[in-house]
Amino acid sequence: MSASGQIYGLLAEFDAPAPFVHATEQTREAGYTRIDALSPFPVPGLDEALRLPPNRVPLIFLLGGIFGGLSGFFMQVYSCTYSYPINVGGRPLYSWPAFIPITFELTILGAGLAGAFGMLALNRLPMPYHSLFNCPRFDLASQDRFFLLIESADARFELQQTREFLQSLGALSISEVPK
Amino acid sequence: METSSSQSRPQRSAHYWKSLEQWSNTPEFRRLVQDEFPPGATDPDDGPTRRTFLKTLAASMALASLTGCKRKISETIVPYVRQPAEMTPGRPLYFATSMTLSGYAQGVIATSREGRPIKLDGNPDHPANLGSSDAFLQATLLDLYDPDRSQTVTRAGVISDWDTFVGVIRPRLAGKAKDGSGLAILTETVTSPTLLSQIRNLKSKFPGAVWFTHDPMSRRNIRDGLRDATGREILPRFDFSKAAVILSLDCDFLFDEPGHSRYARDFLDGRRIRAGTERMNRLYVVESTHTITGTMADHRWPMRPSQFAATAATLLEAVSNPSAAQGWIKAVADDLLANKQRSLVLAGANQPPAVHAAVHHINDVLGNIDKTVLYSAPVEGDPDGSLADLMGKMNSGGVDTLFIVGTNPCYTAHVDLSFDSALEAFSKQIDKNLTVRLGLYDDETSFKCQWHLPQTHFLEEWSDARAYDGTISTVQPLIAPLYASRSAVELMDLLLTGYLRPGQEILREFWAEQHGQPDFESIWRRSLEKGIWLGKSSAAPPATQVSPRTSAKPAATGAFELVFRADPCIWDGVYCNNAFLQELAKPLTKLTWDNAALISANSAKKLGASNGDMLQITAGDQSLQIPAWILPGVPDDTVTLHLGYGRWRAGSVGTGVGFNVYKLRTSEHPWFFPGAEVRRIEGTYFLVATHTHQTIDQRREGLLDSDVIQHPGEDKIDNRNLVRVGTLRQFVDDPQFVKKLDEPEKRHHLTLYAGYDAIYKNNFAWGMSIDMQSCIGCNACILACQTENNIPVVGKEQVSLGREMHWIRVDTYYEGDPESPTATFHQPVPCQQCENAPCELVCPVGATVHDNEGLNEMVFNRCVGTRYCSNNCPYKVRRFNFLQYADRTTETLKLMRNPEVTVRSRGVMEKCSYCIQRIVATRIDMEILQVRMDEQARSATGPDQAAAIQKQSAELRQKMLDNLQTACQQACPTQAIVFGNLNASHDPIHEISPQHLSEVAQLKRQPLNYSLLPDLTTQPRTTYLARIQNPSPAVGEEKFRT
Amino acid sequence: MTTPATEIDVSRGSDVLAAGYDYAAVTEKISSVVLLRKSGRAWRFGFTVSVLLVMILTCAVSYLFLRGVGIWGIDIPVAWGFAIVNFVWWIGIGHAGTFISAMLFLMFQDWRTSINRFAEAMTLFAVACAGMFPLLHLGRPWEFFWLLPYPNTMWLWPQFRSPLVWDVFAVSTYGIISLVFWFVGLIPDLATLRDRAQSYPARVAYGILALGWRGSARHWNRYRTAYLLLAGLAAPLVVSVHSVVGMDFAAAQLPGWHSTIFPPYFVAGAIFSGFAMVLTLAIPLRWAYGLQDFITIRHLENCAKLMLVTGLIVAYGYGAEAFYGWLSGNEFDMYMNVNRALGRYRIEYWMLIFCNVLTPQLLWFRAVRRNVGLLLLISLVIQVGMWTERFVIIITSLQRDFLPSSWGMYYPTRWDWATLFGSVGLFVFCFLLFVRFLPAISMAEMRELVHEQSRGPGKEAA
Repeated sequence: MSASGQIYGLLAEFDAPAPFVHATEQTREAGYTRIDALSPFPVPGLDEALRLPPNRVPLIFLLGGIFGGLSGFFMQVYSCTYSYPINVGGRPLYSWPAFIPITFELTILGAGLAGAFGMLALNRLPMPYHSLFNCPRFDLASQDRFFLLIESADARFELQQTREFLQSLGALSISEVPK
Repeated sequence: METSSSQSRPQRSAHYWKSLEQWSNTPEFRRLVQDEFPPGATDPDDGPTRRTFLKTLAASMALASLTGCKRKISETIVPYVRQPAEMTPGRPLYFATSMTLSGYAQGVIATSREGRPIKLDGNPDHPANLGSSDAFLQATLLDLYDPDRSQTVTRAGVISDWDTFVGVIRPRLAGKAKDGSGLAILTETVTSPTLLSQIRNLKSKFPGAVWFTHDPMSRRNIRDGLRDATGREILPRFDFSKAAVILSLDCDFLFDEPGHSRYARDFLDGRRIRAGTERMNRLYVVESTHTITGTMADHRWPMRPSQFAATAATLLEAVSNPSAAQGWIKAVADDLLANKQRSLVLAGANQPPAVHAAVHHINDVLGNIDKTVLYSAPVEGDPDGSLADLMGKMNSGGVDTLFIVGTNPCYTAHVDLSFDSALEAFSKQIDKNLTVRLGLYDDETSFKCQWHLPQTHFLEEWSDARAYDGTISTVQPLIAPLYASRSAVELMDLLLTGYLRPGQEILREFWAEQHGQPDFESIWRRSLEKGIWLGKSSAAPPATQVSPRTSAKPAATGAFELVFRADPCIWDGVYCNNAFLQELAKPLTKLTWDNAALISANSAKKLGASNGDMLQITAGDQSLQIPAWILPGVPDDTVTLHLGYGRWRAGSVGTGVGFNVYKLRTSEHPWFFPGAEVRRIEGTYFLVATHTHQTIDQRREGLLDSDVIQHPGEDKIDNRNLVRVGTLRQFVDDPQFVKKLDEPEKRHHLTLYAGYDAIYKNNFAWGMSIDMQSCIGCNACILACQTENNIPVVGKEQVSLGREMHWIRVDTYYEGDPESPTATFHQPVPCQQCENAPCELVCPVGATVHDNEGLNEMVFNRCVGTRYCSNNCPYKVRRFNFLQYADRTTETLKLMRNPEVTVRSRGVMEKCSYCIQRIVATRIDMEILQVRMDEQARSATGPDQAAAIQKQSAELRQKMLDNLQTACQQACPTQAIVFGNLNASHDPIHEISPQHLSEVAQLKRQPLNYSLLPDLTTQPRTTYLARIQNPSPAVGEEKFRT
Repeated sequence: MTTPATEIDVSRGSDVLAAGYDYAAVTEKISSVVLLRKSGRAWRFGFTVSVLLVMILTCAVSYLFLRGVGIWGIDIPVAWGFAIVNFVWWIGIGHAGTFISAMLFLMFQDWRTSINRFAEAMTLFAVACAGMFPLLHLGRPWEFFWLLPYPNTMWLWPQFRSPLVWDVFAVSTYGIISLVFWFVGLIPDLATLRDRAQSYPARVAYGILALGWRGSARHWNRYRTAYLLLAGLAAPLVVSVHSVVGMDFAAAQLPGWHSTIFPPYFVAGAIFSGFAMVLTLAIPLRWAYGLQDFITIRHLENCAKLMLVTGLIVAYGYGAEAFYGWLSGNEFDMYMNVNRALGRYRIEYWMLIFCNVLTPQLLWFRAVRRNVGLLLLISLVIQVGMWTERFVIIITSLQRDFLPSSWGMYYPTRWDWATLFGSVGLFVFCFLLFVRFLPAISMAEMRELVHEQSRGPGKEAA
């Protein structure tokens, strides 16, 4: 018990997607909740294995786009008809067809920026420090190895049992992640 | 200039301007300042408002410039009182004065801001131009401020001063007191009564003294010819207003005759086509080159110079005995005879006396004398001889003291005289001879004289001169001399009295004596106001007999013939250092910064030369290398050479520019050379023209010219409809033919938008009408615009890149093939002020936008220089400051600028603004007046008096509105350009007389009215009136069809 | 049941990825270019040349700011010169990058994987070069910000009806979105580099850029959504940008500009020249770093096919322009076409016909498409051709418009040329730096590719 206070969690290493996905599924079914699966590329089936809820990124894109578009259009209408109404080439002040291109561009800009930064925010990125980086093996997570993490904060976490459980899943190696 | 001003600072004083101070302190003036804004408009007590600040600023500027004056003189110059009396500092003053060209006067109204002349225009009261201008009148302002002007007295190139000179000249003259032999004066043509009387007095004081004149543009041939014909010493002038049929034998009366501005006006008044017009005068031109007069002709025949004498003789026969004649001569003769007493035949001053004699007889037969041809004693004084006679005396030792006033013989003298070396040798004998030159510049002649005295510009001096019709015109200074310079009158007076007296004193003395009445003061004042001497004066000096000059020998033929002409831009070379005129595109050739050998397309083929190829021209034992330029309409086998270029001491602008044609000009053949040899030699020269599309080395372009010109009934698909031309008969048959050349009018108004008509209806609606019938292509408008709007000069290299800055240009289109063009058309193109302006739509920063009066406004300070507007301008009237063109360093040029117009920086687009500064000034004046009159109306005793005041107010404001002119319009000698308010309902007079229409509004309703590129639906506010020609049925109309 | 740890995915080899690559090998090969390998002689030579060109550019720009745009050959009537030609050309080149990474991604084209990274980089640098020119082009460049809507005491605004303002928004949006798209794609690879880098500074630098990426499943989940949507945005953006550029001309009423065909055929032309540039970059790249296994003949061949297609569209554009000119019966349009083909700039016109219409026809032949050297040559010819096209469109239309009196010519000065070649130098300069410091091929996506290719039928993870 005392040890479990010192560490962040246990990290099981796999070298192929299939056993990795399989193991993840097992772990979740075993009742662990605070687990994470870390891989060098998005492994198909992992989302299902973790039962991830649908993310809210698309919504952010939508809102950003709407905001960008509206603000773009009304900026032009405001400036041309109210703030700075002036006869340009005999064209009407409210010449909306001419406002379309900018409206369109600003829609894209709004959506893109909101979406990209929204995604990072939801991912809590940038995150300069994370306990995982204390684990030397973890460097491989960005290259060719797949890791399954069970946090010590998990209710069912018990250092010895969990380690054995992970071994039973056929992990190549199991390392403790210091806090 | 810096040094000279610092030298002269101690001796400055405010005397010269005291009068202005006094004037600006008159109770009347103070009342006006008080009244400028009625109670309520501004509260005088709430501290210095912006306006009061500006007023103080202007006043202090005026004061500052007071101290700028240099000479210790105290004299009054008289404001021209056309302006209403409400004058405040910061507002322009107008003064009448006169300028001379080869001695002949033109009336000038000078606009003066804070004591600096910034604009010159014609004097409406002066018969020589009736308020219009020519290019020289507009551009000579730059001469006044030219930093290259000589600034100090020099002796053998070493700086000296007037006192030293006086110290030298006094004993010399004292020595001549008894007979005065050896004293000689050389001037240009003199018409100034004062100067002539001074010369007379000088000759009576020094009996041996002799006076010679030298003028490269001498009108001697005319006098000789008429003397042979009539035995009288006379010169002709012409009354075109009475002439129905005109035949010009090589007479460019729209350009180089004295009084050409007046001639142009009268001539065009006889040609204006309005609804219902059924007759116009007819002009036949036979000429040895292609001139702007030729472009106005209804029938034009290029002719080699050698044939004019014969032609004149044949014509004389034809008119005396019509049955004998044949060919076009018969047609012309019949036409002339059919219009006895209403016809006019004239010959150019360059034609030999024989031709002038013949022309006299022709006019005599036609009974034109005293009807359209008016003879009078020569306006110019008669010297004791010409340059040749002077040189005779110089070589024989008959002269030891020589004064050269103004004229520049070392450059302009006939080459066979080799005056240059003669004068040099003469000046070298220091112990014996004294040579003095009074000149505006330290030029070729001054260089060969011992003394150089700086001469005043006419805007700095008191003088007088006679106009082409003898009108005595006064010259009063607009500004104290910028440098230590003196006028010719003052120099003559020095010779007479031995003292340096102020010019005004001399003038007053002379005219007081001439007038001899007690009321001299008031007459003098009124004369200065008008710019014309109104008092009595003894008639022009009796003409002394002068030995007839040997007329040119019968000309050889075969080889090329040379034609020497004054340059259309720099005259005989006097304006060589004037950058405005150098950069001005010459009529027809559109050449700038150079002269060239103008040859016809056929001659070019014969010589195997194209534009810019060097030619070797050998005339007798003289020869010259000069590049060729193909000018359609020049007779074959002749070469037209413009004088005035190739100077070697003109100044920083003019030195070394162009080719010196004087090298070929001999006293025997001053105007034409019969048998010259011309051949193409190695090498080409870089000639720059502002538009070159009619050169023949690109066929397609050469042909395209006729594609821009459209005649009735033609619907060529590739026709650009830019120039619409018809004959008088076509117009009478179908007055609406021009409209029919258009697409159906309504199509141009198809739009989805409401537009701004509602707004335009409730404001002034500025518009312009340009009459292609009247435009003679004289370029006056271009320079008027340039001085009014501070337009920079960019130099030959930039012009060659197509970067000239003129806001208005005169496009020239030829009809027919380059070998023998059948007609030539001028089309002035300023900004068209489109109501649906394409330029505005594409400007990303809104630097060019529309105002409620329909002006397409250019906001210099907002422009970032994307140049998109220029790309999208179908008329290409926008000009861009590709580099820093405006001169921001030269002090004197700063003085010249119009303070109402921004000086543009690099990277900014600019264009014609309809002279918006003038529009605004007028609008403000009208508003002030209205407010004031309303004030009076309120305080009126009864309703009918109030009504009367309102009526008067409306009329006054209408007058202000009608007086509003753009610079180009004001300058135009033929009133081809008319600007004004199109919106009758917004004329102040409208309530009183609803049917009132401004002139421009009437013109827009004329049947000949059309706009450029109407299909683009830009709705230009500038429109054109089609050109109507009046060909003689006898000669045939074919050549007026393509 | 447990899977034996010995079994590791290995690519079975296909026309987009050679056989025998597992995750480690892919990662190693690509990252080593950045981390281990020395900059080769070829790289150093290229870098030297590009630096020299950048210096020339610096001189040209300094002198430009000193004297004004008058140092160029522009005049009235030809008020637009090289600056705009180069602008349109560079913008066009950029388009292929976005097209590859966005369009092909949406269409699940597996062959995009190994070329999209440097294609996107190419886009960025091209947009950077392009974005430079409108600024240099201004008469008063120091006032460029007047084209942007910003609060100012005069309450002045840009004139939103002007296509140039549309340009400002389109190009800046394009630049920003491309950058974001590119960077988001880079994050996992940056993490890889962070974890593989030997030197401490490299670890820190890549570490900061990687934003602490851990490859967590939850991250991947949101990441993929965002990437997909960004691609979905970039696709219409790439079309809009060059349409707007096309409208710079279509919105004017100049004969030769005022034509509805412009937006579509500008876009086609853009992708046309863009793929030419992709090939120009890919062929030396795969040669210099031995990436033939990743950038295979199939990649090159597909690019060639796309060039052929877009080239045909462009050719149609030329044809349509001439045809409508004739059909309109409008004297100005008709003369404009005559003037292009027979006027003073006929040489340029026929040169562009040769480069853009005739040359691409070679690509009908499979042999040509698979001949790397020939492909490189053709792509270079096409880029010259596309530059000439912009030159002809801009110059010949301005040179002779409505009033013959104001016709003129345009002769580029040495400063025009210096700026053009200088911008090429700047582009190469940036690209070479990119190759040295960032993975030119997306490692994460390559690993994905390995995974997909290694999976045979019935080998699904249970």
